This record gives sequence, C-alpha cells and structure tokens, in this order.
Amino acid sequence: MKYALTRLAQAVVILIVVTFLTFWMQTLLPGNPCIVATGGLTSDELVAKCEVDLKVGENVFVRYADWGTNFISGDLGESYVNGRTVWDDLKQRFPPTGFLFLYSQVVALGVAVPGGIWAAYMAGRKAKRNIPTWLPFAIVGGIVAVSIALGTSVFTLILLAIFATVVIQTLRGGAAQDQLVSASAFFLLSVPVVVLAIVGQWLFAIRWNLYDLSGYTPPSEGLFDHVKSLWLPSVVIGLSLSPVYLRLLRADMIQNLQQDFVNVAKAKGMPPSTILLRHVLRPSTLTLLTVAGLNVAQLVNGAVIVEVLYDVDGMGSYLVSKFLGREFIVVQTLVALIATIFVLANLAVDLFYGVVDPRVRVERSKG
Amino acid sequence: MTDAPPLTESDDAPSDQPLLRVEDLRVTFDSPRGMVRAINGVDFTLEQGKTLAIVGESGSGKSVTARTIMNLLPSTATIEGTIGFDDLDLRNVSKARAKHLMGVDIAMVFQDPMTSLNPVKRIGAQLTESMRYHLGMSRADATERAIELLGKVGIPSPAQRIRQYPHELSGGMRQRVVIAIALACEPRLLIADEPTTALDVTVQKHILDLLGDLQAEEGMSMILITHDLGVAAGRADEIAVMYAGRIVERTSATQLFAESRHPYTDALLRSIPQVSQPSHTRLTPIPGRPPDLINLPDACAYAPRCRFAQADCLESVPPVQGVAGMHEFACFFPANTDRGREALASNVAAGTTAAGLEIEGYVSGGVS
Repeated sequence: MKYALTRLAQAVVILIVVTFLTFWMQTLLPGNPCIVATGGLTSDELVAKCEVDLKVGENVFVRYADWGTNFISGDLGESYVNGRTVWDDLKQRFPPTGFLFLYSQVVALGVAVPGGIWAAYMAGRKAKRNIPTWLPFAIVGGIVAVSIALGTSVFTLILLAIFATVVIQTLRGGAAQDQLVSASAFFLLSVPVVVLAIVGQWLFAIRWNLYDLSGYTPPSEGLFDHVKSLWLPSVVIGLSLSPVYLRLLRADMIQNLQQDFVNVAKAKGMPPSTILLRHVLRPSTLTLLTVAGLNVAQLVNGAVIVEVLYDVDGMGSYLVSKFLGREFIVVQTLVALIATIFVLANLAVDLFYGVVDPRVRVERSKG
Repeated sequence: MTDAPPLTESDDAPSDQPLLRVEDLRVTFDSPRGMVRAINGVDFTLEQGKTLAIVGESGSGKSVTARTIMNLLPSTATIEGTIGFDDLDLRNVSKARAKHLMGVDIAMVFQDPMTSLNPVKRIGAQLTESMRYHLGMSRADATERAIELLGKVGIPSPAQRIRQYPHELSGGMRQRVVIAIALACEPRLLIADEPTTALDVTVQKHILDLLGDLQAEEGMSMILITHDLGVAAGRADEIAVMYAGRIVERTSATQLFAESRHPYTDALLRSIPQVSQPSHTRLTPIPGRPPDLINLPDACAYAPRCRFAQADCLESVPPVQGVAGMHEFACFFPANTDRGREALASNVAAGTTAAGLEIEGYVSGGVS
C-alpha cells in the first residue's frame, strides 16, 4: 500500500514535468499561437478572445498554471477553428478508438497466448517423424509448378502452399511446430500493418463481402452491428500486435520451462497442461504485461493507419487533423491526456507485477 | 479416486522380486560435440524398505540414473535397457497407468531447494496439487493432510506455513517442504538426488535424519544420491559407487567401508577426513580428472588415474566380478587382494603405472 502511494506521487510529478515541458516547448514556436492555430481564417475578435483565454504574452508559468487548472477542472479548451470544445470532440472520437483498442488486444492476446505456450512447449521436443528437409520444398515446389501449369490464380497457389507447409510441419511434430508458429509470427511481424489492413479490406470487404466499410456503429445501436462494424480492423491491429506478444511469451516460457520447479512438478506426476498453465504461464507473463502496458498509449494515439483506412473516426485521425491544422492548443491537451493514460497504465502494470510474482512485493518492502 | 487405475496385484500378494530392478541401463545424449555416453551399462536392484546410496563425482551418471527412472530426461537422450518397478516395465507403461505413477508410487527430492519450489505459488497449493490430482482428494481434505505432512517433516506452525510463499522460508525449511511434497502420495520408492548438497552442514544432518526416520516410518525404499561417501555411511544398506557411467563397485555399506575392492572406492575412502586420524593428517587426493564421456576409451575408464593400473587395464573394459548381489566390482586388480597388492607394488617399484601416472609410496589396503 505504501508502495502504491509512493508510485502514485511519482506519477503525479512525472505528469507535471511532461505537460510543463511540452507547454514550454510550444511557447518557443514563433508567432502568435492564436493566429497560427486559426491560419488567419477567423475573425479578429475570435483571435482576441483566444489571446485572452490563453493569456498570450504572459509569463509561461502563469500560462501553464492557468492551462493546468482548467485541465484538472475538466475544461479541456476549445478549437478556435470550428468552435467545438475538445471535450465534445473526445466524447465523439474516443469510443471507437477505445473499443478498437479493447477488441484488438483481445485478438492479439487470443492469438499470442495459446500460440506462445504451444510454441514454447514444442520447442524442446523431438520430432515425431523424420521428414527430410528437402521434402516440404519439393512438395511446395510441385504445387507451384502444377498450379502454374493449370493456370490457377496466385491466391489459390499461396493458400495451397501454406496449407501444405502446415500439414508437413504438423506431421513432423515437436520442434517443427515451434518453427511453424515462430515463422508465422515473423511473417506477421515483417508485414506492415498498412499492408495487412489493405489486404484484409480487399479480401473480406470486396472479394468475400463479409465486412461493410460503413464506419463505426456505437453499441447503443445494437451490439451485433457494433461488433460487425469493428471486427475487421480489430483483427488487423490484433494480428499485427500478436507476433510481439507471442515472441515475448514464448521466450519467457522456454526459460521458465527449464527451471527446477518444472522438474519437481513433472516428478509429482502433473500432466503437461497443468505444468504449462498453472506453473509456468504466470511467472512468464511479466514481459508481456510490460509491453501490453506500453501499448495502452494507443488509446489516445489511435491506430492512425487502420482508422483512416477503415473509416473509423477515432482518436488517430483526430490527432492527425489537429496536427495538420497546427492547433497546438488542442494538441497540448491531447499530449497531456496521452501522458496521463500512459503513466496510469504503467503504474497499474507495476502494481500488477506484485500480484503475478509475490517476490516483487518483498523487494519493494525492502526498498 | 475417480479415474485411478486398479492397483497392481502385488499390493495384496507381495512378490518376492526386488521392488526396483535396473538392468543394463544405457543412456546417451546427442550433443554438438558428439555422442555423450552418460550411462554405460548400469545394473542394480533395490529391495522394499531398503536404502541404496549411489555415490560418485560430478558427471559419473548418478543424477542421470535417477532422472532416467523418473522419466525426466530431455528428448535428446536415448535410453536402452530395462527398468522394472514392482511388476511394471517402467519404460513401457500404459498411458492409463503412467498417469498416476510418478508422484504416487515413485517420488523424487531434488538437489536445490531454492529453485525446486515454484516461486509464485503458495506452499499449500504446491503440496495439495498432487494429492488432489492423483488421489482425488477434496481441497479441504488435501489441505488438512498438507498441514499434517508439514508437521511430520518438522516445520513449526504448519497451518500458517501453507499460506506462505517459498521465498518466505529458509533453505532448510524449503527442502523440508520439498520432502513433504514428495511424500504426499505415500510413494513406495523415494529418490533423493543430492538432497543436502545445497544446504549448510548443520542443516544437512537434520534433513538426512529426517529422511531416514520417514523411510523407516513409511517403509519405503530409497535411493540416496550423493557425492559424499560420508553422507552414505550409516544411512544406506547398500552402496553403489559410480564412475564414468558405470557402477564400479556395489556392496553392503559395512563391507564397502571395511574392505573396498575397486581402487576408485579405495581412493575415495582415503579422501574422507577421519576423526580417528591425528589432526593435520594429509588427505590423499585422486589425481587427474574424470574422463570425457564423449571419447570413452575401450578400457577401464579409471585407469589413467589409478595407482593399480596395469597393461590389462588399458586393453579392455573390466567385467563385473565378485559375488553376485553381495559384493560386485569391475576391476582386474582389486584393492585389498593379493593381486591388487602385487600390481601396486610393481607400479611403486617402477615409479609409474601402465597408464603413465607417476606414483610415490602408497600403501594399499582399506582405511582402518
């Protein structure tokens, strides 16, 4: 408890420092922020109102204090271009990004956790069957040759080749399964998310017509329609995140599977599922948790590319439009929000370490 | 007892064969450098209720023997030979029987108590786990028995301990917990792999005494693996000395200390400090190093370090001789025999053994 309070105090200090530094750096930019932000398109009186609101010309500390008090009291400022308050924009922009983040994390973990456990379990095992290395290449090569001769589409060809590889590696068993999972993870890791997004769009929205590119539907308009409007971008973001999670979990699991306590559990006669899920999984999730905590920044940043491609009006496109419009006053508020969420999420992760590994609590009470 | 397989018939009608029978066990590991021959033909038997100590230095194959019996070897290992337990062939057990075999009939205590408990699980959970899985006990029953077991292995206030995590206990206490875990399902065979090596000397004695008491109480058989002949003394019925993956001498503990046959055993005995010796007596170290298990010679593996070594020792692997089941040893020129004394005398006279080891005056014979 004392630890949590200390960490919370630290978090507050970090937030003040971060927001002040960004605030101060903005004042270094040349020109009157009110004129820059509106691009000279609005009336003089609006600029004058803006200058009063922002206390332009005053000492930077006074201005920061003013902005800070407003921020804490919930007044996030307004855009002088269209007169909408940032709060109104957030109410509209945050839910799509929030749901997209939630679902994509579910997809990423749903792929990475079973995949990582499976790969780690198989990594140390002997192959079930001895299939010579050249055989899969020969079979895949044969499929390619036959497909070209028959004139099948490249798409069918790729699917066939993937299918053949999966079957062969599965027949091999043991470490070959790990190789299959790890290679797939590397493949996903090396494909940029924009490619995944476009290919996904083409496959599911155009070729198979399984997804409507109609933008975001809030849950209030029906849960089914809501999920239907977000599933494809969630899968795309989830798949692009999953290889990172998978590799981290796999590495930690492999390391922990070599611990003595695993041998003790085997000597106790525990089945592999119990050993993997009850003994090894929990101490292997620390790195995964850390990285998942860092990804929380996406709640405010948004997944810009996917949001734009899938027509989801979320935080990503909002942030970009404000940047392009040079509305640094709004950007400042958004930076503060990012920092707040980031610091809080990582505070939560730090506290969660103690839940996952009781030894961490001892270290803390000593320190 | 939901899906426990039927108990073997030997439970009602005790068979007259020994509980554990290891025959011509060979284990090799694939390594980048080549085939590591960890175990090269190990034979032994263990009667119900008896203790066998397996003694040897690092790399002699004693831990690999234990892990082979427990089926804990990595997949790079190739195993040959048979391991009979009760009326089972341990290397070909049906899946249904194997499910409730390890941890129930055979249990193991590991070397390092600091790493053999799961750091993120409470002592209670680790103790009750196997009872609930193998014996189908309810959580409450298993917890009650866990408390009883912790009391039995000498842990004070056991009811509080089951709520604690391993890092809250000392090394000696943790090893007691590991022993309690091994005893949870009342095994008939307990394998203790260097159970005291990682502990303080004072704690060592407590743990060994505890193991001895529990063994007598439960009537179980025990394999005590150690690199310390002193630990085996007085606690084992029988002692097997291992060298380079073979048992080079196997006999009753009293016989071994009175009249060792293998020069390696003889040398080990000379390297133990004796209370009866005057203070500052120099111990006799064993010269050289253990052999490389990848390039084992087609000869006695101990010959390069042996003061008795003759030309014969470098030509072929000495077969096991002596009285079968009573005192077996694998040596052409056994210590404490005329043949051995002659061999040593000629080596001393020449100043070197057939393997080229330089020796000074050295008196053959057991330690009195």
